[in-house]
Amino acid sequence: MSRKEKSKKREKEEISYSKKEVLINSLKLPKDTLLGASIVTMIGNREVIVENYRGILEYTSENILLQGKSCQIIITGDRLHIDYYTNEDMKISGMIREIRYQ
Amino acid sequence: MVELIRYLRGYVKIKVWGYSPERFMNLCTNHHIMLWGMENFGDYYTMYLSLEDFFSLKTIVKKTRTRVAVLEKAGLPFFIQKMKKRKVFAFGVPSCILFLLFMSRFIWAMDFQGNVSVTDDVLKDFLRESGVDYGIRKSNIDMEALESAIREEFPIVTWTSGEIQGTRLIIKIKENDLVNAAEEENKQAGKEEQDTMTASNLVADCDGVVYSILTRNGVPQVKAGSEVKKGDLLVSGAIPVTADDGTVKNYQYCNADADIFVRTSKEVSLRQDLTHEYQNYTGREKKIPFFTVNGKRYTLPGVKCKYLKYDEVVEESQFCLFGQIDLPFYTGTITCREYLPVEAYYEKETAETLLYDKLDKIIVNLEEKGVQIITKDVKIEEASDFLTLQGTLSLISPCGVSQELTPSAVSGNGIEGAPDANDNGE
Repeated sequence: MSRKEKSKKREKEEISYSKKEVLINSLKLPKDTLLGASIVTMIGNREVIVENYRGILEYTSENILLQGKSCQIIITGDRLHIDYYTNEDMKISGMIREIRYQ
Repeated sequence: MVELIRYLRGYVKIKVWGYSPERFMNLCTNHHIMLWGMENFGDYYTMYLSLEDFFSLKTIVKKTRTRVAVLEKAGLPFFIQKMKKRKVFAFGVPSCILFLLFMSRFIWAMDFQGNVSVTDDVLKDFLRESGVDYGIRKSNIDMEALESAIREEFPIVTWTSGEIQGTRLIIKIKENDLVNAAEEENKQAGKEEQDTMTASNLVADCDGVVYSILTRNGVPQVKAGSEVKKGDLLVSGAIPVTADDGTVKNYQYCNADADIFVRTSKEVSLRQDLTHEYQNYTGREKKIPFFTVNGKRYTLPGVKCKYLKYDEVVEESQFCLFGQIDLPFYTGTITCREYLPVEAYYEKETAETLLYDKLDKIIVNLEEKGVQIITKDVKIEEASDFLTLQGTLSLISPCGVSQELTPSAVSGNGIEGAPDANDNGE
């Protein structure tokens, strides 16, 4: 394999994983605390528990838009209801149809 | 658990509307204010938060330019506030609970299971005598002593078990299944009585002529055919021990026992009036409700029976709370049945049959006692307004009762009940 080809491959890897991610991956450190990734736990399609977020941007009974540390999470459904809302986590219940990241 | 803590600290349901409710929520969480039960109703939101946090909302409301209104208040702080206005109620509820706790330390109901021949009333009376009654403290009942007391008092009871369920005392009993258990018991009691005596004679308890005598124990003083009078000695319990020269050296004492049948006669005299009165019920009835407290019967004022002559049928039932607690109140009805007294005459033949029926009853009673009837010689005489039945029954009846014999009295000078060795007819 030529040098050029090798450098191209390295470039591709750098695009998909940042240096920090590679380091955390290789050291097997918790990503949620170090990367600030949100944890979304779904129980069936009736309950969602979200951790690691900044706040609510929008809340209607059909849509809940949450601001994560690196992205936004949109939860779409019917009769959405927030059971509890604290600094660490929140629980959303209702008929959940879709969860989208943007 | 979380709900209990929320209740104790107190919480409110609020309505939030205005410029940016979402920011209001975010700021709340940033200030460590916990929100729960959030709901969106289009242009406004409702949510719950603790009472303490509610007072720190002022700055957040100003910042986010929202408005907040309280919809509901719940929890202990609000309850206490309310109770301050209702002191009697606040005092009544705990005192009611205390009263219940206090009263549940006593026995308020009794239940008997498994008893057939020993009735509930008899058992209740016995328990009352031994100090166990309604209203006694549970801790004052010595269950084992009570169980053994029941077994001792009623020999037919072979097994007892007592238990307390709530405020109910349950006595479970098993009775001896033998049919003639009661009779045997009587016999045994008689025997025991005899056993307590060291020596006894058999004496006559009726007049007559001895028909047959079978001695099991003792020295017979009469033989078949001899005439006896009430109080005569039939069988002596003192058996003479003779010396070689024929004189009485000593007496051996025993309980005299024999089957003695005596031929005797019994006078019968019965009377039957020819006129008699019977109750002709008119069919009119009146029911009067009543209640009984502390042994006294109360009826409603103004409700009275106006019949001239009537008899009463009383139906009574004890008042029972929740099917568990028997209260000392009774309710029931008195049914007054009106009747007219009617005077009537018996035909001579009917009166005679009635007289014979009475005689038959006497005979049946005698036969039950083991008396044999040999002849009956009766005749009916007619008077102006009554009939009399007169006559004699000749019977063979068992005779003899035990009478205690004092050995010292016999050995002293041989007076009462001491048989003379030479006079012994046997």
